[in-house]
Amino acid sequence: MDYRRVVGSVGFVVGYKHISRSDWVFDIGSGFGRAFLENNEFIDNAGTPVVSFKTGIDFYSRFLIGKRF
Amino acid sequence: MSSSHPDFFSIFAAMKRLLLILLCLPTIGFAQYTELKLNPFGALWDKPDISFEIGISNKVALEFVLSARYGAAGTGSSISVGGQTISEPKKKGIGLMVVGNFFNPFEFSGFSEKTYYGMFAGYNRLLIYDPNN
Repeated sequence: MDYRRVVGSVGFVVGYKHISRSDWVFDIGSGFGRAFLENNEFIDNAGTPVVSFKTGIDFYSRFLIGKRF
Repeated sequence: MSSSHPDFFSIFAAMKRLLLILLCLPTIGFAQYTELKLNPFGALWDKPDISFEIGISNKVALEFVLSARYGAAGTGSSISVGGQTISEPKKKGIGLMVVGNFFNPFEFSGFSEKTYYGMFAGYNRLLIYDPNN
């Protein structure tokens, strides 16, 4: 059995970004939003969805390190 | 129709790509800064994210985040939901997110001047599958 999730979402994000003197970037943030194009399915071995559901929401979190140019 | 001619969909896809490049080039050209960022923890746990941020002004930025998912799902042990079980599950997936950031909109000083608020739009696909099937 397989699980498949497809989601398209739009939402809000809040974060904090620190830029060092040598232009290294530390970025942390999170957000949530509305899931519009959502499909969650458990699929059996024959390829037939046996359980399908929607949550309507989507969460987003991030921790990124990088360089500013 | 002869197979030597490109079909409508390949022409449409090429035009879409060209339009995207034409739209992005001026944005990159006039950018105040660009940032390339990675998610270091994600890279360790088979969930890498790569982010490219374009600073349109010192207050507003546009960010593109590309995500990939691969390897063992969860702890790698079996998952059971509603009487259905996936043994030794693996995952694969991809995501694309566009984030518009607005830095320190309330003109705070000190710690809060490094905060940002924004909106995201994303599309994600994830498949957790049983490699034994």
